[in-house]
Amino acid sequence: MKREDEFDGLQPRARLAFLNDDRIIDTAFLVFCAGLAIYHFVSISSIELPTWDAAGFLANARAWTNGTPLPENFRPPLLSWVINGVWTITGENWIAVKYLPAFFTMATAVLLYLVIKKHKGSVFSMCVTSLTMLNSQVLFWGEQLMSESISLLFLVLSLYLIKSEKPHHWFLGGITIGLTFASRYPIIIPALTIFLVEAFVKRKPKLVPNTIAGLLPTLILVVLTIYLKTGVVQFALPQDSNFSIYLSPYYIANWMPIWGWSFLFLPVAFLFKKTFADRQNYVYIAWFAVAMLFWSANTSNHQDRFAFHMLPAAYFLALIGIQNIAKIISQRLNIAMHEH
Amino acid sequence: MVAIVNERLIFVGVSAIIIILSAVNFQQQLAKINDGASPFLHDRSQLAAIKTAVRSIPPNEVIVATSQAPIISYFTGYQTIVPYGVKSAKELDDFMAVRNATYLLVFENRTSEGVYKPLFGTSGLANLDANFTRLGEYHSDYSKILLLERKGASG
Repeated sequence: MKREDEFDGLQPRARLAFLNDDRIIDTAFLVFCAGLAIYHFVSISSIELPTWDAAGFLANARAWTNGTPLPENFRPPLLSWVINGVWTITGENWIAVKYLPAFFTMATAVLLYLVIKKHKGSVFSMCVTSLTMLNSQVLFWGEQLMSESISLLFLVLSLYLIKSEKPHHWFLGGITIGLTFASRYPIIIPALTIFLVEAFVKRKPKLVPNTIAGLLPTLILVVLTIYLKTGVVQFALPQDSNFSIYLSPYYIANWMPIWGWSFLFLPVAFLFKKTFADRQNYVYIAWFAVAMLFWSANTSNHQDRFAFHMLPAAYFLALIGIQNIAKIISQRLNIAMHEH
Repeated sequence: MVAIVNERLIFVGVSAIIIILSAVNFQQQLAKINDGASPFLHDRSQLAAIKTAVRSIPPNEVIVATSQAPIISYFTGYQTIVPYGVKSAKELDDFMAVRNATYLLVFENRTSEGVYKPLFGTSGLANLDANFTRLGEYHSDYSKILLLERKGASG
């Protein structure tokens, strides 16, 4: 894949050469990750009790082990299965699994950096990853033993695999989309969006059956396992499953606590033809738009943390907006200075 | 044309400012989230207090809890239910009678979302005396936990 460096016709000055040096930015990213890992470790160490939802996942994990009915059968199973996996080594102990979300969050950071770097370069990727990982929703909910962090990991892993040109990566992408579903049911919607948009952008229809071959068996296996365990398959509480075409403005009205300052630049991305000229951007546009529509269409349940899985796409687009503005400003200033 | 003003410099400069501003903003948001969550997540003595409170409750009893229900269930093994929609001592008594529940665990002034807080506040708790007997009072870093027994059930 051609990597975009966004300097058409302009020669970067020598003193800014470090910004083009991947090794320096990669090292800076590693330092950022190390700091983030220490932060999460210290922060999780002070957590004495699980959240309400986390206790549900723990109780379900125990029920999967003991063969007893699931106390909360509407919860997606993957996190409880992972907890079970850890408990087979450590024995049942909540302390042993409370650090798991930090591993998922850190793995997400690395994957996100790698997948965006391929196309947009290390500086841009570092900016998107930093904004995502420093967001208060990720800092807080990314530390709780809940479905947010594990599902974002599988969503970004799906993006990483589907962005590849290799047929076996598209097969694995199908499996990870299925695991995204198993980790948090609604997140299959952005995962499928990523798959469909990339299939359209890549124009390689031969890759599509590979993903379906990975996805369908995974979905069937997950649903069948839940059905055999509980006798029903419940994807959400009834009160959370009402949707309307009258969209809630919640995620726009609360832009500051949810997205932060960078959200102001997101609409700017859509004002420039360049954003749409680059087909590699389509997946982020569709990911953000579809996820935003889905959560805004819910009639009653709106929470800041539901933006968790939109953050990378939102920040990608916001930075595209900043990039477009930077290009215009630099062109205008350079022309003015040369004329002067 | 040789660039005098570099596009990347502008991009990095603006992005850096946005990241710094966002990081400060996110830390403020995080402090608010943590303030709300601390009584539940960072209470070092709450689990010990809960375990002490339920020690006198016979096995297989159903506990009605105003807060932390799944946590109580997971760590103590008791089935725990939440008194959603209950707004008076009489309604609470009926709610528990229907569910064959004898014991009520109240986190004073602290209720789960959907639970009627005034009934389980410091002043509201006085209204429960006619229907409930106080068995014990337990303290943790952030919570005062009361164990009550339904009079109808014991009588």
